[in-house]
Amino acid sequence: MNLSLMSLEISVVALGLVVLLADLWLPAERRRALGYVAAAALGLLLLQNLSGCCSCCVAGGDGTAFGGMFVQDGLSVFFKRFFLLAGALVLVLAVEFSDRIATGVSEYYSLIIFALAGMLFAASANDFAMLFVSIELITITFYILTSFTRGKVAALEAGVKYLILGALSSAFMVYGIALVWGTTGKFNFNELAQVAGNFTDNKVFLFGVVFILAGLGFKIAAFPFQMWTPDVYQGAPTPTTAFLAVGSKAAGFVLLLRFLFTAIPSVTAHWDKLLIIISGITILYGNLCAIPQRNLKRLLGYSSIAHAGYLLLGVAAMTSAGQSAVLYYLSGYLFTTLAAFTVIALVMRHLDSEDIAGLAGLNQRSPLLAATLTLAMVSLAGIPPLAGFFGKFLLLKAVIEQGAVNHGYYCLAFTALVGVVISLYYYFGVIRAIYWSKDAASREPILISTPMRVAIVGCIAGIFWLGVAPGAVLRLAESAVNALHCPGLALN
Amino acid sequence: MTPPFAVIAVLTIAAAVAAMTLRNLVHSALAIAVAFIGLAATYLQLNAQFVGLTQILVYVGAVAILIVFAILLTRGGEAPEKSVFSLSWIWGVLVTLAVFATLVWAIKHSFVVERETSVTAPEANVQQIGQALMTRFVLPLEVIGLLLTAALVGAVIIAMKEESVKAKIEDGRSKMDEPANPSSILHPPSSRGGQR
Repeated sequence: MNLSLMSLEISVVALGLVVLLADLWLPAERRRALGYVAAAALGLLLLQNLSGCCSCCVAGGDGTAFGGMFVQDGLSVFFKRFFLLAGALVLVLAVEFSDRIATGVSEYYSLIIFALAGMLFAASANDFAMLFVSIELITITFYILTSFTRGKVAALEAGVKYLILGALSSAFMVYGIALVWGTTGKFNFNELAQVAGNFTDNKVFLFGVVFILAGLGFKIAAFPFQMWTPDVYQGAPTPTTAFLAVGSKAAGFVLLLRFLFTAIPSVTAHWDKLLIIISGITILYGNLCAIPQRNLKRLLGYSSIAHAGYLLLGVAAMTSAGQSAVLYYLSGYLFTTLAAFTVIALVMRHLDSEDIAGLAGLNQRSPLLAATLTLAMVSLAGIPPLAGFFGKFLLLKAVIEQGAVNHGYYCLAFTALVGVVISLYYYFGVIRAIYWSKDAASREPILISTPMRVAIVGCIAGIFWLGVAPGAVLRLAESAVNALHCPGLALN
Repeated sequence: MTPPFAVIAVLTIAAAVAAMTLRNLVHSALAIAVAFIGLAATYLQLNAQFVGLTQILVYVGAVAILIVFAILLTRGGEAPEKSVFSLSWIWGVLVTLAVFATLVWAIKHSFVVERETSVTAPEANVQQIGQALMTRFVLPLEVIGLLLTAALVGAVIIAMKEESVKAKIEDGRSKMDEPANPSSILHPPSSRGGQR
């Protein structure tokens, strides 16, 4: 048993418990700062992981634990760093938001950390039991985080909707897992890959796979399973929404990648049409429905559906270029989305609703926030030289390269371009509200705390860094997806 | 069909029918508990110890009690005035028959029926399940433990007394920028409380 592989998960869980217990001894007025401590601890873990793992990856720090159930490879390390960074930034945002939480601020922090632990386990899940358990840990924690400000009816409604649809999709997924296990008798992804080829015309097995994909599609908000997204994004507290948009979606994608390309590669190879259609419809649905939205968080909810569609481009391409593009796009999406939600949390703090009109006069109130939101919108729209552009470029390139195999890929690339053009309209509507609105509700400058300022500047730096100098992250992403194709881990 | 099975089956169905038709909600709840026990007995008789015991623990122990609590807390258990039979029953019966016919058709055409030699079911008793949980599946078990911790914390947070939240929100409207005072269990004494 190789427990050292799991040191990161153990530390994060311990951090969550410490935060939960610290609530008992800390005086009430200092609990708010607990979030900064937790964020700093996550930052330290990330730094230690960045410095430590560069040497241990070379020296063979990869491996499996618990009978191949838990796998530590390039892909999981990439996503773990991603989740740690997202968790730290969300915690800083949560401290900023904490004055709007009536009871249990430290519980809010610790639940964020528990959700983060679920994401870390998801990054390493190589087995249906771990897949299900980690998804449930993330989702159930998010039910609570969504309805945390239960004084607001919208938050309760969002929580109930998320709970019911989430339970339904979990039920589908468990049923699918039962069917797959019943036909193949395998739980482990690597073992399943060896026998999956024999079952490609077994209807019961394929039904199971479809049900599992439905469960994962709910997590990433892909087309037929996207109904919950706008309501939950709008009703949930802003830090929860930010974490949902970044962390939960990325966890869904790491599980989807592992499931499709490690567990059932022989089935996935026949399903290019399904992935192309889902990806295309998701892009169009998200972008078209975002146009009439007046609520900023709801708009970002629809835009997150559209981005799930863009990310599915890379999955549908079924090449390692496509998969590394997914990882790259997610990295850019992390900085962009967190920057956008940070600005929303700061600007909308005195307003009851997150209406776009509330952004009026933001340029006079805080030029930094105005510039940040503008950059985030421009990057989400995919305009050079920002992160979103290069991510979209890589995804489209991967799809067009496959066009020679199947002409559907050309249609998909065209659909994605149409989606980008549509998205320009509503993203620039937000920018127009920032700079060219006449009737500003308030003109008082917005105060930004120092940790918040650091987080915002970090996000801006990330957006530019990924857009201008993509080399480093791209190389990391490429080496990470190698783990999907040649699981060079000895099975025993 | 063995005599014990016949007894259990009749008991279960009778209890289920009673749960459906009895006027008093509390009586219905008790009848459904009996139906749950009948199902558990069926499982045990099929040598599925774990499923049978789980059925007793979860359904009889938790779900039935939850139903009784819900009835007691919401409407006090008085019987409804009008008859429980209504026209919509026709549709219900039709749907039931359709589902039943589908199930019968599926079972008739299932390859399990055509198989001649009965396969001996793999033995899975509680001990084996416990061993698997504590050895091979110990990591998911631990993660489930974390999940239950988070769920418990969340249940307490969401179900805590509503008034402290309202007071807090009204409070927060006036002085939004001050750090909150998130007393977790004890809600702060209200500022108006002493003067009344």
